[in-house]
Amino acid sequence: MSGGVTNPEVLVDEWQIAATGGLGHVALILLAAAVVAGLIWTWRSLDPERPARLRATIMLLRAGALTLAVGLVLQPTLRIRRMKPLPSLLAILVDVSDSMTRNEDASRLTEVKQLLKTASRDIEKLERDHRVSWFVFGDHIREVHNHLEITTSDHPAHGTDIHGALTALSQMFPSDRLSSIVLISDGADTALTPAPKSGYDMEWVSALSTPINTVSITRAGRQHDLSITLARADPFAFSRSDTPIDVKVRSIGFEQDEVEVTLWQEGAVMQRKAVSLIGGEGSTTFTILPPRLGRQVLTVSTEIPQGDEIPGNNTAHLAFEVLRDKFRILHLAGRPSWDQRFLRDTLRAWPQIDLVSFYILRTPYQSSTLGSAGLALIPFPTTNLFENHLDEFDVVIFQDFDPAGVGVDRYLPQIASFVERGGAFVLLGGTDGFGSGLLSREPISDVLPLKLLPANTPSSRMIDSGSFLPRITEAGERHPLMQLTKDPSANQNLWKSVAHLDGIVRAAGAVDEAVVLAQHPHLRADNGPAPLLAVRDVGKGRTLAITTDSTWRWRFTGPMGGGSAEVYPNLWRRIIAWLTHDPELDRLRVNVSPATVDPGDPANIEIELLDETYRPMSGAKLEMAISWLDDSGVTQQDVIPVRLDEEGRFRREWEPRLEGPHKVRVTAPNDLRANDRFLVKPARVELQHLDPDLSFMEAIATASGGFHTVDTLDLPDIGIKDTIEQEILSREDFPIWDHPIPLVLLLSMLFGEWLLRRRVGLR
Amino acid sequence: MTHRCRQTEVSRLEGLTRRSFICGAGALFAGTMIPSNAFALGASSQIDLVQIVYGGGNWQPRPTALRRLAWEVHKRTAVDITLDPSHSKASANLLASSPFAYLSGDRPFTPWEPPLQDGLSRFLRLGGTLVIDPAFTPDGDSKGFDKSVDELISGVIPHSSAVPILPGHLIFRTFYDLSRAVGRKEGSVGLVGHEMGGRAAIIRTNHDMGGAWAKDNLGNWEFEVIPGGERQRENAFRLGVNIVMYALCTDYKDEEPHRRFGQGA
Repeated sequence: MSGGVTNPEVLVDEWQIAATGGLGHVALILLAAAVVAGLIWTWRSLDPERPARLRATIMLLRAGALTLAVGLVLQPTLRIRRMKPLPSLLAILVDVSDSMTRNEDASRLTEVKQLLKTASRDIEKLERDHRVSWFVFGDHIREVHNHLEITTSDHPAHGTDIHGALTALSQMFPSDRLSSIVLISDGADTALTPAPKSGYDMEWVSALSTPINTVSITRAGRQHDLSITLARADPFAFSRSDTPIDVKVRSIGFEQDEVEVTLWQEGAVMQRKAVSLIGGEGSTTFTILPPRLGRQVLTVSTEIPQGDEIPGNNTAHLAFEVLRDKFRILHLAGRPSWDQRFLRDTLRAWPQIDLVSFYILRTPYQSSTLGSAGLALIPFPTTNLFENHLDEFDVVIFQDFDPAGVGVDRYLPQIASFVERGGAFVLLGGTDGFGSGLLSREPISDVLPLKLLPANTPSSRMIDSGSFLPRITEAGERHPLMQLTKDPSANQNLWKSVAHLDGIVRAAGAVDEAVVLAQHPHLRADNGPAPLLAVRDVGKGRTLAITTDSTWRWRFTGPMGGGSAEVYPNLWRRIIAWLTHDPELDRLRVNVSPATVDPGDPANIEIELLDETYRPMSGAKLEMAISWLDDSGVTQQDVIPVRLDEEGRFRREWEPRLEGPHKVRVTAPNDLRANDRFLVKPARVELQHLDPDLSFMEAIATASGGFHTVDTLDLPDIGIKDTIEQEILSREDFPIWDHPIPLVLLLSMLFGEWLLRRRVGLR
Repeated sequence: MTHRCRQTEVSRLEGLTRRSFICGAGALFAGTMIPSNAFALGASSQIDLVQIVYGGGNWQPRPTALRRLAWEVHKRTAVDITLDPSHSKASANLLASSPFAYLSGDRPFTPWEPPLQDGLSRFLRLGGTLVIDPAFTPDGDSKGFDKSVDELISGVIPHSSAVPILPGHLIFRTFYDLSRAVGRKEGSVGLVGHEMGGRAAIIRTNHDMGGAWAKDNLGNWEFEVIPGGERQRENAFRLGVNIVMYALCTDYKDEEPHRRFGQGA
């Protein structure tokens, strides 16, 4: 039981009846049970034949006695408390993140300090009337003693998290104790990006149940900043496909109506564009053809005009992966044949291949003697192909193709150069290619995996027409090109089950730099078994030769007899992947993860090296160079010696020292090179989120029932919730039980019941 | 002569530079006298036009036809072809040697056993081409042959429906430009096909092409062409050459980059 009387001088008297007997809940329950049991026992002991009035009187006396006995045990006390309401609890949060502190003397924080200085009297009054706590925040919150301590010196903030700061505040002051919050910030929240287009979700603000008064700091009209506000490419781009890079720039405080934007890669200019500014904003799109596969890190920058307060946001980086869109293959066949037909079918069935074919349908002799009436043939575009378009192809295939027949012999040096620069060249049997003699001459012979026999070699020496089952060499068993299935023993069995081949064109042998993957089971070349399938790395490119024209039997004859129809297409997929340097099949691989490294985090670098026969090069010593540009634009490099473990691998973490693009280049013996790129995010993510966000600040105020002002601090007008906290000044207890009357009443009732029972003859 | 041919081609091919023509077109299309170095490596190197042997009926109504077509293909094209085509039963093992098969007849034949049908079905699925050419003989029953063929096809590729192969189709321009199909008889303008994997795996004629191709050992044509004229016989050969080219090159002529580069783009 309680009640109270409010004193006009904000003192409150509050009374209540309290039990001071010190009984616990269990004792109280037992006591109540005993009272009820006593009453029931009394009622049942009375003879029902007796008058009802008598029984009721006895029950009343017994109930009264038990009640008084319980009251004595509970020891009831009248408690009077005098209380005083406490001043409201206010929290003032000041944003000290990078966006608020950039440009020191002209910073937004300086503006805040000036506002606080101007409002010093209001602050004094506020602190007199209320309990005021001061906080600073960026990516985390910290309490300070007063507004004079607002500084960033020991509080580096790498972001702005307004939601986090307010949530932390609500945890510091639970149970609605806060009466008001004043939030002073530019609203440039880095935890909120990208800003929602359809309004902010403010449910969390309502849940705080405290008015939040927001003060937006903009320094409007006094800022000078040219910045790149967006530099974006799709996370995945495709080689040889136009890749757009969207760039947005904004100029605040400068009068220029055009700005030059430059796109860079590894310190070299890729493109420049003039961007018109309308209302201080402009955008452009660079379109590039990605220069290489793999991860790309590009930089976009503008000039830094004199007086630019934030030069750091005039540069932005972006990272994306370049995937191979399509393999472009030039397939030249010296005659229509089943070997040509089934290779064509296989290549055409693979959507990733862009096939350009030219087949010689008539021999030069037929062309000269039979005329051309009624023919549906087109001329062989030798010049166009080899002078204008050769570099557009990834792979050039000569299949039983005599280059002299259509004037391609003049372009053999270009094909050799094409290989050296990274292209792939395939020579497939038949005598028209292997026997023409042209391919045995320099410089094309310098890139082939086989040394061919001279043109005047008798056919009996050049050709063996016998049927044979190829023998996979030791190198072939490990080479990725020959791995048709992942299970090595299943792979071996698959190769043993293929159809026999018909005939082989003999070469003088494999060159020293080549790796023979399959050979004739018993025929010999000059320097060993007659090679059937040989590969070679040449410069940046690769070459491959197959010395038979009957591998089509693996696609038709073998499967007709119940063999696997997948051997042939799988082999060609592996061939194309290897020829085009599919990273999965590279001998030297370097991989950096993640592609975009957070500031302070390490980059994880993994290296793997296999030898020419695809065995792990355990213990090999390599060199790794990590390069980046310093603040002056000078290339810095960290050279790290690498020693591979027993599995031919190397792993380590590397801690970046600066933000921006980094390149990892690994050099192995035999001049093998591999590289990867990664981007270290700017430590100051604030640089990308410098714009004041008035709408966010206003939404917080509106949702919480507070007020929103811009660049002004009206402390007298802030919304403050009614206080609910009170301070207890005094408390007095007046024991009710500690008096003779209750005891006398108890005894009287017991005596009265005893007397009544005796008079009516009850026990 | 070579020089004159080159000049002729230059006048025909608009859009080509003189230089590109001299380097490319002159070399291939107009031709040079450079002999070929080609020698077949093995049996698989050569194209064999296999004639299918079957029970009942008459599997070889024009015995010399394929040999003559093979000769013409050899004479006119760069294809390395067996001049004495083989014949084979339609079992999987026997058809495995060549992806080109020729089925002819002039009367009904005994329905094929399931293993033979399976062999032919696998042949077609793996990329083989079957040419069906009825022979119209005086004592034959070509309609009966067609009915037997219909039953065979419905057993080999049950859910396939016949599609017309009309002038303009690749088969009419793989080597020669042809305006219609002809054989010993003029027949219909086009052919009929059954497609598998985007190509005509079965090509049916109703022109008795074998009758137009057949030539005896003394060099005489065995049958007159109807309505007549050597132009018709020549076109029958041209269609035969085109069909062989189609089996070997499939959609090569429709390859867009091929045409683009060929036009000097």
